[in-house]
Amino acid sequence: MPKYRNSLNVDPNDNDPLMSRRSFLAIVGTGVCLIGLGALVDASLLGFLYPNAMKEPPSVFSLGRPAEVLARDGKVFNPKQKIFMETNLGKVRVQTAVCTHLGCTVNAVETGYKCPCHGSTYDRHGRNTGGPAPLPLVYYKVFKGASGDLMVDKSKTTLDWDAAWYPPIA
Amino acid sequence: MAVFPGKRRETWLQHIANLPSAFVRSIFRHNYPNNDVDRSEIVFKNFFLHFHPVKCHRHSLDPFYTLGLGTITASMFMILLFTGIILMFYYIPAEDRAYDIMKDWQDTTPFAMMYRNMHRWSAHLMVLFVFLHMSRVFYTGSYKNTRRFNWVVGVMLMFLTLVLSFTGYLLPWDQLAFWAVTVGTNIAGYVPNLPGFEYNVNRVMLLASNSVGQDALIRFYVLHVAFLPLITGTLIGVHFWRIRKDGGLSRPPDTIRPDPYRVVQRSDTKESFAPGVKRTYGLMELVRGTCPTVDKGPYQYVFTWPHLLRAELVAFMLALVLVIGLSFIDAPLEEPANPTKPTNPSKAPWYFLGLQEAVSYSAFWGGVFMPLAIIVGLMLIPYLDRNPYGEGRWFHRSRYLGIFFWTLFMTWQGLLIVVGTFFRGANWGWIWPWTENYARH
Repeated sequence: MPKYRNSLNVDPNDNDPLMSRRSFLAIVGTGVCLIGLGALVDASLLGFLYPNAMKEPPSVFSLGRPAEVLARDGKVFNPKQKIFMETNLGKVRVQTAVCTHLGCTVNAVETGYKCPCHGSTYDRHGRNTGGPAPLPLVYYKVFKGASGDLMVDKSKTTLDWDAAWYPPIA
Repeated sequence: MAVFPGKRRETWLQHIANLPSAFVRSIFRHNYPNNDVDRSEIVFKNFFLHFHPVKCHRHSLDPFYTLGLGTITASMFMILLFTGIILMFYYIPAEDRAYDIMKDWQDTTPFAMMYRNMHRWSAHLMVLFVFLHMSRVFYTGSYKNTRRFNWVVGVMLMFLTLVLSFTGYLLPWDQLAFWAVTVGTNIAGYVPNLPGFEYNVNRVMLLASNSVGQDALIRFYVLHVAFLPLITGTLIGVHFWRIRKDGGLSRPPDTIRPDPYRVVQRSDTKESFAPGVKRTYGLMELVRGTCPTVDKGPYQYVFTWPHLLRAELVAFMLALVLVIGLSFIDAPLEEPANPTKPTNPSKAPWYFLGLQEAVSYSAFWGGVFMPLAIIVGLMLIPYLDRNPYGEGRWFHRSRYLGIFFWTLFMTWQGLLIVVGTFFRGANWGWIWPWTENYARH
């Protein structure tokens, strides 16, 4: 340690440690405290901004009475649930209308589906054929609920367009 | 020997007669700046002026060097702060009220549309001027040497400007807003998740939910009106502060007489360095020589009052006139947010159309990787550019490669924006702008 720290006449050979042991320990201690505090704030913010309970629409919803639903024919967009309901000769199947790319609602077109936001294209079975979509549009499971209504379970998905029909084709 | 006996006690009459000037003096610590002492004192002792240097270099005032771009950008930020706070008096961040309030402004509230238009146009112009300012700094090599980190601060400010714009145009809660939140937060969902979280934590922290709704709106509102402006304002302060500490705006070294050196002797090393162009502070440091120079300031320096302040005022007035002029063009308001169906095509504002075009190739590579790579790449420029020449000169010859790449980069971004704006139609399909199914946002 030089005698006068602010002196310009520092001898390069006097093994000046530049920082005393005491200062070093003080800085390390303060640093650890600050890092710990920062980690606490970060962790609490992460928890605070990531709620445990989120408002989720129920994954099961009703399509209506089977007699009414199965009497229709063709593909209908259901805006509330963002699904396409396809009815054909007394069978029904339900496919999502949410683009697998960034979540816009796709439009039904001649060739299948197209997304208005970034131009993903799907064929009539919902397989992604072009654009940035990474995955095909899934089908949801349709079943008859206890009330007798036709119900859709959004948590049960399939990509098999034949297996998606209700009632199942033998 | 004459000794000052102290101030003579004045009579009440004299006291009252002197009161007006005493009162003015109690507010201002200096006289009207019609002489050099008061010109320095007004900058030195006034809170609102004290982030200026007392004197600045003539070169910094050359309008054809800076083009006033940085000052205009800062002016836009100030206009945005003012008009934004005005708008906050009416705006309510509620899903079912936000849009109606915006709509009602058109008929019920005098000047509301003027303020909204000003806010919208200055936001657009701020984005534009950030990029122009950035290009100016690049082309003049101003990020070199001591100013390296200030470039990094500038890149952060560019990012913050874009995020502020994004969070801002969500607040009207129209179709544009809703689908922009949807797309933006889904892009955040492509950022790798932290382990142990059921849903993508980046997305949930923005939305407070798994779907876009009221919880998301209040988050973006808080980000837009408090969190981001605070950070941006602070960083702008840092940006300005560093300009001063780095010796003012970049400029080539003086040719006639070298700038005075300010020799800094570090206490604990033997290193003494004189990094060339430096602002000078104390009288004893003004010039380098064996005896103090009398009756002479640093070469080529002029007083901030009035020279620099006049230049800043001109830039500010230019920005204000531009914004007020444009505010006669109404800010658009689309249909109310319809969570079931986006408009077709659904387009972001122009400055995000390049991003949207990139995202339309791949969500991760265009939406996460490319922006991140651009930001990191921009921040690295001053640390990778080893060419010491060209600081303070437009288009220095030795920097032709860097200038070429920068121009290429900006042209590429501009092309993406042009393609996104004019060549994308229904379902983001390719169209030619002169065909009749051309539908521009």
